[in-house]
Amino acid sequence: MPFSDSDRPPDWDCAIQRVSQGDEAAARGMVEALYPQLIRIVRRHLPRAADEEDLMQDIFMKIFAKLDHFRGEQPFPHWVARVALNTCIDKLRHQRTRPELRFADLSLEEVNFLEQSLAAEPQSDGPGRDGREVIDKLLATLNPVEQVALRLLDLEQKSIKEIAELTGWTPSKIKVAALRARRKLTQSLQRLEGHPA
Amino acid sequence: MNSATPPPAWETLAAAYRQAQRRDPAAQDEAAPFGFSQRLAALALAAQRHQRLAWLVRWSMRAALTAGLAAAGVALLRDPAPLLSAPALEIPGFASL
Repeated sequence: MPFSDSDRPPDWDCAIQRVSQGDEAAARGMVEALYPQLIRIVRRHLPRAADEEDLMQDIFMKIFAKLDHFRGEQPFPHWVARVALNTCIDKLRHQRTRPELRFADLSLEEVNFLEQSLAAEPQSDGPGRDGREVIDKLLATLNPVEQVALRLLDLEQKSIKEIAELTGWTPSKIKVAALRARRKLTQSLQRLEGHPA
Repeated sequence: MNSATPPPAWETLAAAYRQAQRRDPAAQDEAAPFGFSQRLAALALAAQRHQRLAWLVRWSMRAALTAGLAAAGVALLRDPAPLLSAPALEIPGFASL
């Protein structure tokens, strides 16, 4: 069985073969084994997605539909992560980009978090959910490629090489997207600092 | 200005975000909801079967069309007269005018 031993990594080749032959138990095992990895990707790139379960279903349906195209050139979990990331980028493209983040859009907790962070004050117990929401709101003002590039580079601290492998983008595309994104965020933060009313 | 270096404000925000992400139980491994894998496996395999059936139908149609064309070609080569000659046109009562 490809998923028989929880201590050992799944035998993906065996699982793929069995799913291609129509084995429902293998398909179920594949969903259960991949779900934690994919839900993390979805939550990181679409933190405000209300239809998380529908999105997960879309991702898995794409994986199963494209399973015959998997050639084993990269590890199966990497290939699956790319499918999930591309689905998230498609979803981000369909969402409206927030034109600009204004001070009035922030809650009191978000303002406090932002002020402490901009003053570079160490936060003893770290930010709560509001702290992260203000960053999600800031990132929502960027285009999908910039959002994904900056999340992977600065929030998940992946290397350019890792991001290139994950997304299929060239290193120069990633660097340019991150550069533009940081420039836009700097402007947004300066606007928020300068107009606190 | 070195534009490749993240600005300090963004750097601070990103560091705070990472710190919160590490401590958040929602960001940790989460198993699929009850029944999700069963439903999805059934859906995926049904779609797979449908895809294969559609492929079979598409190629069967193509094979039938090719066989029909081949049969017509062979018939034409063996005796082209009945297929190529037009039937005589006779309009009853026209000659009596």
